[in-house]
Amino acid sequence: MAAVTDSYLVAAGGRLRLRLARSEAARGLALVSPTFVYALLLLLAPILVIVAFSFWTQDYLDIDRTATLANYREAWTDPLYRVLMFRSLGVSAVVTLITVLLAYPMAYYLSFHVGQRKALWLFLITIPFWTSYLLRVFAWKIILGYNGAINVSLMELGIIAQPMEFLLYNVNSVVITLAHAWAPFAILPIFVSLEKIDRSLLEAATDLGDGPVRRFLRITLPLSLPGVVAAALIVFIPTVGDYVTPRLVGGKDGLMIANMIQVQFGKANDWPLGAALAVSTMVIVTAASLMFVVLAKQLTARFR
Amino acid sequence: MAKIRPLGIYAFLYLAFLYVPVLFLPIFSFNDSAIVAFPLKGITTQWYANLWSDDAMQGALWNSLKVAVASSLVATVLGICGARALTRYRFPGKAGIAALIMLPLVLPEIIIAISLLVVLLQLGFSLSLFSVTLGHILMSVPFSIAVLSSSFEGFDRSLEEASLDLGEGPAATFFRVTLPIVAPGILSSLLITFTISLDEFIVAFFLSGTEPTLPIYIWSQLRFTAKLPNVLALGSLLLLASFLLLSVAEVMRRRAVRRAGAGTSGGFL
Amino acid sequence: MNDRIIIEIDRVTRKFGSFTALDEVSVQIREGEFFSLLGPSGCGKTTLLRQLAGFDDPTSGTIRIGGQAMVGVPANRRPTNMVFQNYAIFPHLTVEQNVAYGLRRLHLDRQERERRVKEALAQVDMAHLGARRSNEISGGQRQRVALARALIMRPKVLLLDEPLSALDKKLREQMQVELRHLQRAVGITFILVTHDQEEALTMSDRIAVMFGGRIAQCDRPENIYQQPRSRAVAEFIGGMNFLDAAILGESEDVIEVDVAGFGRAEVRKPAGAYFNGSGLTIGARPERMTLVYDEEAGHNRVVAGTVVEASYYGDMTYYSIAIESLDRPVVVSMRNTIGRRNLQAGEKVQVGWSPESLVPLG
Repeated sequence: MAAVTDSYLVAAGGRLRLRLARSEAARGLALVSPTFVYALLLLLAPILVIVAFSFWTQDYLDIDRTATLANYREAWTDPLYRVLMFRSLGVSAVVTLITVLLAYPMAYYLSFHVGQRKALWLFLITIPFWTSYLLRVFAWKIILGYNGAINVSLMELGIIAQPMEFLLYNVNSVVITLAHAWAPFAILPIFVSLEKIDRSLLEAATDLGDGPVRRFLRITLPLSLPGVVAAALIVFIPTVGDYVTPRLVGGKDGLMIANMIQVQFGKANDWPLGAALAVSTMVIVTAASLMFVVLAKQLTARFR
Repeated sequence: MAKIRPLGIYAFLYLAFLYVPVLFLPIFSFNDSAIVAFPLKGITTQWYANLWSDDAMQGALWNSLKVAVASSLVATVLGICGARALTRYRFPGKAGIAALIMLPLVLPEIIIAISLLVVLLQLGFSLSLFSVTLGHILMSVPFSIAVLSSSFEGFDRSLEEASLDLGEGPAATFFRVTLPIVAPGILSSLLITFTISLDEFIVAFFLSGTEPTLPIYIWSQLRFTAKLPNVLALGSLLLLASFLLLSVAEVMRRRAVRRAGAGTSGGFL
Repeated sequence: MNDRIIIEIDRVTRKFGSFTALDEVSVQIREGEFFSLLGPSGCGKTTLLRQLAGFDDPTSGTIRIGGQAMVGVPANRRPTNMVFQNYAIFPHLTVEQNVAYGLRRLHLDRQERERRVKEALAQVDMAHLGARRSNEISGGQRQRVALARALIMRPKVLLLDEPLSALDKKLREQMQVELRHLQRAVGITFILVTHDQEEALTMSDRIAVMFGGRIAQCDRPENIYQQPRSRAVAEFIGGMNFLDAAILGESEDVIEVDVAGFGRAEVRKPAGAYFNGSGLTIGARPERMTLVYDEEAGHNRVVAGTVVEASYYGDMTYYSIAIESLDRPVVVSMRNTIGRRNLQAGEKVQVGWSPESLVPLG
C-alpha cells in the first residue's frame, strides 16, 4: 500500500525536523548503529584478526608477522588434525541426520495434531535447551557410564552380564549426547515451515484423490523442505565446533577439532596454528553447508 | 476423546527422551553416596547443605550474577535499538547488517571465544569478568532481538501516530504508549539474556581471568569425583532456577504479544 | 456550515522518489463542511489526509488550516484530530482512559476531566462501556471510541481515514447516518477518506473525486452524480451506460449530438466546457431511462429493444437491453412498484429517454 515512512519522528520533530534527514534510511541506520557497531568491533573485527593470525607464525611469545601458509600446510597435512577434522565433520553429519530425522515427526505432530496447546508444547520442548549445556552433557555421562543408568538397568533386567564399555568415552557417546542437546533446535525450523503450509492445499490434494501417504510425499514434505534444510544447517554448523561434549564424554577416541583448537590457545600456545585450524574448519563447514543447500534444491526440483 | 495415535506416542516418547537425562541430575543430587553411579543408596540433603559452606562456589555464583545482570541489561538495550530499527525502518545494507548482528546464533561458540580472546589480549586488555561480559553481550543480542522483534512487529504503528495526533510529543508517546505495550517483551528479553549468561560456559572459559563464573567452577569440579554430588546439587538448583526464569519470560512474552496485537485492528472479531 | 474557508490546500505535490502520489492538488474546504475524498486505492486520498494531519509533508505546495501555515508544524501541534482506519485504540488502556488520553496535557482537574469523558462517551453512545478494554468490545464499538477520543479534543477539523471500511454492511449504513448526525450536532469540519462511493454520496456536503494523485472533480454529491465531468468519474460513481455520439454543433451551454442507437438530441453541458472534435462519449444513468411496456402511455422518445437479462435487487431490477445497432446492451433500472411486472429475457420493450437523461463526458 502506501509507502511506509516513520511518521513518528517526522510528525513530532519541531524546528530540527526540516533539517534532520527526514529520510527513513538515515534514522534507521542511526538506530541500529550501536548494535551494529558492537558486532563490528567484537565479532567481525576479531574474526578478521583471527584470519590474519592464521597467516603468521608464533615462536613462544613472539609473533612473526610475515605472511606464510605454513600453518595451513600443517593443519591440512598433519594426520592428527586430519583425523580430528574428518571426525568432527562426520560426527556433525551423523548428529544432524539423527536429530533432523527424529525431529521431523515431532514437528509434524505438533503442527498437525496439536490444537490449542502448541505454544505450551513448544515451550516444553525448548526449555531443556536453555539450561546449562555443561550439566546436560554431564547427565549423559551418568547415563552412559560403566555404572551408569543404562548398564545398571540392563544388568538388573538380566539382559547383559557385564557392563558395556563401548557406551562411554568414544565417538558414540559424543554422537548421542550431541543429538540430545541439539534436538529442540532442529524442531523449530521444521515446525515453522510445516505451519506455513496452507491446509487447504492438503484438502485439495485429498479431494483430487491422494491418500494420506501420497499427500505427505507430494505436498507436505516438499513444502516443508526449506525448514528441514534450515534445521540441518542450524544443527550442523555449531556442532562441528563443539568443545564440551567431546571433552567430557569423548575420551581419547571422541575428541573433535575444537579440542585441538583450544589446546593451541592454551598449553601449546601456538595461536597462528589454532587460528588456521579454526579458519579451516569454518571454510570447510561453509563449503559443506553450501553443497548441502544446493543438493537439497536439486532434490526438490526433481520432486516436481 | 482423542484416539491414541502412534505419532502421539512418538511425541511423548520424544519429550521423555528430552527430559529424562536431565532429570538424572536432581535424582543423584539426593543420593546418599559420594559415588555418582547406580545403585541408588538413599535420600539425603547433605549435598545441598554443603553448598552453604562452599565459599568458592558462592564466589563463582556471585561473579556469574554480576556478569549476567550487566550482560542482560546491555544486550537488551542493544536489542531494543536493533529490533526497532530492523522491524520499523528500511535502510541500505539492512540485510547485511542484520546478518552480522544475528551471526552469533549460528557460529560455533569456540570461534567467537578465540577471536575475542586474541583481540582483547592483543589490545592489551587483561582477561576478567569484564571480558566475559563483553562476550556474553555479543552472544545474547541476537536472542534479545528475536524476542523483541515479535513484540515490535505486532505493534501497530498507528498507535504511536494516534498518540501524536492527540497532542503528545515523541517522549511522552514513548512512555505512555510504546513502553507499556513493549514492556513485557523487554522483561522477557532481560530474563532470557540473563539465563543465557548464567549458563554459558565456553566463551567464559576462554575469556575469564582469575575470577571464575559458575559454569567454570562446575567444570573444574567435574574432575574431582569426591565433590561430584555437590556439583549435582548445584546443577539441580541451577536447572530449577533457569526453568523458573524462562517460564516467567515465556508468560511475559505471550502477554506482550497479546497486548500489542489484540484489539488494535478494528473490524470483524 | 458557513462560508469561511478553514482549509486551503494549494498546489500540494508529494513525491516518493520517482512516484508522484499527489500532483498539484488544490482545494478549499469550508468551515463546518462534511467533505469527502473519494477514489480507488492508490489515488492519493490517504496521502492527502495524512498531510493534513501532519504525519507527512508535501514535497511542494502549502497547506493552511484556520489561516495558519501548516507545513513544518508537527502533528501533535495541529488543530486536527484523526480517526484511524484500524481505530488505533490503545490496547493497554480502558475505553475511558483511551478517550481521556489527549486531555492529560490540558491539566484539567479530575472533575472536569471526568465530566468531559462522560460527555464524549455519551455522544457516541458508549457511556456504559467505559471500563472495558479494546479486546472486549466489537469493531463498531471501537470505532465509536476512536471518534469520542478525537472529538473530546474539540479539534477544528476531524479527519477520518476510511472509518467504516472494516464494518459489515448493515453496521456501515447505520454508522453513515450516525456520523452525519454527529457532524451536524458538533458543527466541526469533517474530512472523510473513502473508496466507497455510496458512503461519500450519503454523508458529504461536497466530494472530491481523486485519480492518480489529482482531483478529477470537486462538487456537491448530486452534481457529481448527475453531471460527471469525465468518463473516469462517471464510471467510478454509480452505474453508467457509455454511448458513442457524433458532435453536430456546439454552443455555450448546449451541445447537439447524434447518439448511436438513440438519435439526435440537444444535451446540456457545463457552461464554458467545450468538446472539440467530431465525436464524444455520452453517459446515461440506468435510472434516467425507463422501459415502456404493457400499454403504458407513450414517452417523449423511445428506442426499440430486447431484454437480454434481468438482475433482481429487491427494490429495483436492472435490465440489460439489447438495442439494434449498438454492440453492447444498455442497462436500464426500474423500481419494483406495485403492479409493475418483472420482464423476462427475450421480451420486446421500448426504452424511453429524453435529452435530460444524457451527460456529455468527453
